[in-house]
Amino acid sequence: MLNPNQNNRDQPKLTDRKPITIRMSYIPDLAGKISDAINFILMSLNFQLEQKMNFDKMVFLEPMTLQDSNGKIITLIIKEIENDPEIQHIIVHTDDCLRDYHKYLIAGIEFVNRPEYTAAGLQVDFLGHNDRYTLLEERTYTESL
Amino acid sequence: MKFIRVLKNNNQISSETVKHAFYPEHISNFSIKTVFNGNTSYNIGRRKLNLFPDSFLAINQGTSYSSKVDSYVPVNNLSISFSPTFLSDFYRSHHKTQKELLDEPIFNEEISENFFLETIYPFDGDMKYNIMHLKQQLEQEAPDDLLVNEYLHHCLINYFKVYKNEVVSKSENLKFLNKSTKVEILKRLTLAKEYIISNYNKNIDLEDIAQSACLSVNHLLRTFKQAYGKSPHQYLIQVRIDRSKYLLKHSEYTINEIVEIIGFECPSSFIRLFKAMNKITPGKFRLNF
Repeated sequence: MLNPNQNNRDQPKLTDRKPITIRMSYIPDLAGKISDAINFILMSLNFQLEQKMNFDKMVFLEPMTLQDSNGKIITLIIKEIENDPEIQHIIVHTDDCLRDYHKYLIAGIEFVNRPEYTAAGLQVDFLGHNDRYTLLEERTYTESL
Repeated sequence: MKFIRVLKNNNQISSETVKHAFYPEHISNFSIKTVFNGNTSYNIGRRKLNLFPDSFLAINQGTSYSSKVDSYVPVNNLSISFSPTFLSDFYRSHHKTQKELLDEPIFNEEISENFFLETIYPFDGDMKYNIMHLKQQLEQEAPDDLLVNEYLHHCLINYFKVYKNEVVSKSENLKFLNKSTKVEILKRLTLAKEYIISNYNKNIDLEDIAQSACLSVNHLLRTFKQAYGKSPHQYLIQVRIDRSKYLLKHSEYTINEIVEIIGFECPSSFIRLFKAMNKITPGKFRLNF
């Protein structure tokens, strides 16, 4: 389950963002087995690798830009950790949770629940290798759209 | 742009953009009606409702109604009609235990025709997000029935949430012991609320509102405040200010034109009230978007 505090800390507020078609999202979550996570994202979620970037390799392992099948681009930064805990949590942002839930469902992704409403928006959790993923559509409820 | 999508389970979504149209009296399944700019007027029995972009209308199965668009600008309507089976199945799956659902998996009893309170509800939050996504999918993609039904399933989840906020909790606010009295009072207050929302830009007074709700003025004042936490006049001002915010965001009307559209008598009183309620002037509010 998404930790709302963690999400609020890591992401700018939705209302602060400009309505751009390409969205950059930095996800400093930890993934246990980096290569498995990347393969899962590329093969199962159908993201395409756009480019790798040279950040400080002492901190980050192979930051990369990915593009999903809807043309949205994210920058994924996965940090490797020494202890390799069994399950880590990666948040995949979307602008339409139900659309992508349906798409991944057809692609055979194993969901652990149905899309549900939280204070952060609409989200659903799924599993991929050793990691747990949250597909999250952030929504703002303070002002009408 | 116009489309009609009929699913295999008889759920139906239709959308049309028109300046002038008349849809004669007809009966449909339980439906949710929205409008994305301008307004559409509905005649339901003796009631005349005007639907604006900040509200949606829920119409019960079996209700006879007509609607009309008469506008200088194109008005985009979207209507979702739920098949009785889909609605009944949704209701059961959310109100029965797992054991009850297993014991009786197929259940063809339909929800009664007057099950929901047929009125205007606020169109915001999750309800708006989901319907906007559904609309976008139908206009730009060719989504399969499974995905469309997923959106419709969530529309019903959102509708039940709105219904709970707007009907159940407001009913609980009423200080009457008798449940049937509460229900009847809330129905009449709903008529008053509809009247305010539909005629917000006209010079309406308390007598008009009370008459629309079949209540005396004193009874209306006492019960309206209990249910909605504000007087009918305060509610009217709130509707006008909300509409002005919509127009500030989504139109190029000048502030003076907006003042006229929403029925305020002079710009200075509008600006003073707007600032008092939103801690920002209308001009600065517009600049922020």
